[in-house]
Amino acid sequence: MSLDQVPQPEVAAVAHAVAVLEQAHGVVGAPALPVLAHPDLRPVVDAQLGAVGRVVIEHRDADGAVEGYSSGYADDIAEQLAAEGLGVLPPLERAVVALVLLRCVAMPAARGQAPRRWSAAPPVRLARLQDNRAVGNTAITEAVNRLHDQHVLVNGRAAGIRPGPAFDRLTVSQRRRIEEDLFILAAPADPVAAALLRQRSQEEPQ
Amino acid sequence: MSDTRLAAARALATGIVHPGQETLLAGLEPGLWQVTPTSAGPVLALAGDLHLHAVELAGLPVARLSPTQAKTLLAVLIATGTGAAHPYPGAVATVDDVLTVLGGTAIGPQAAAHVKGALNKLHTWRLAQLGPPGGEEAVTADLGVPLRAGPAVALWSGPWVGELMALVGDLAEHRRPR
Repeated sequence: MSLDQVPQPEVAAVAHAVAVLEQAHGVVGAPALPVLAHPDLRPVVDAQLGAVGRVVIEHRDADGAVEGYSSGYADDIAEQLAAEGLGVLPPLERAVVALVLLRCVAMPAARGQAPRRWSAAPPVRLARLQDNRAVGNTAITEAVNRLHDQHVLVNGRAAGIRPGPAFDRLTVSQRRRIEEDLFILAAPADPVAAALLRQRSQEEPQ
Repeated sequence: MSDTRLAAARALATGIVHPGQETLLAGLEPGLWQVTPTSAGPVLALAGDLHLHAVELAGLPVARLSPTQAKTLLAVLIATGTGAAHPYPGAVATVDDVLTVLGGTAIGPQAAAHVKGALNKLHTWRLAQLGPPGGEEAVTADLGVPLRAGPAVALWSGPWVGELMALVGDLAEHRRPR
């Protein structure tokens, strides 16, 4: 829906919502963006973000109520950009992100304590990441610093390292894909991992 | 998937509008999106009056520069300043000029290393541009390396830019030998 079809006072509210979603780093509390709960104006925001390949991402509390919003690339766009190599992390950074997600998200989830938002997961100490002997300590430290600058991780130094606000920009299906990747990584011989791999190979264009 | 949608997403993801796609992007809502020319090429960004500043940022999760990064950015603006109302494109300076603004040899090697580290981060975030104009190869902050305001500075707009440039002017005036 075009902004031309919206009354002038409400255009400002729509533009402000788009501006806040695109400039914030992390989840913006729902009370700050009432326009996103407005039945007539929400589709306008969706359309304006959709025009540049972006979507509104809703973050829900334990009771299922929307507690905040962010924006990110739509699934089809994210897939296409990744296919073009845009936004794809180099192998070392990817390995370090996998270690952080395993420690901060997958392991707590396996204990029944999955963080509601990855960026709010309990941090892991750098020394724990360095338990991984396949990658050198210096390489891990440097990669953590680079990922911190890209907002992929937050390096809280003594407080530890956790997933960064970039993960708040992932849609539900993009996060699910990573969760599946972590499962395949942690238990490659598990029948569920085999089924996921089989399903993915069938989805790939021939 | 429409061509405009993908071209816009690609421009946002890479920070640059690819050649030939400006016409496509001209169809976007002009009150929300604009294509701005920079030294790195045209950039797709939110319209200038939508850039959040001051009280609008209160309570929002935003990325903030550390004190050293903020001080270094201010020194970059002083070193590249031309007296114009907007800091972009500014003049070409060097890493040495930024260090001189911040105290020269008096700041010591450790502080100088922190400033160089901050310059590298400002380069990553496109707030400063290291290396000769038009150079493509990766350059890190070191003595003698040319430097100018980065393409992200080209997007700055709003009353706060005037306030910032008044501060930069005052500081530059204060530094001038009497």
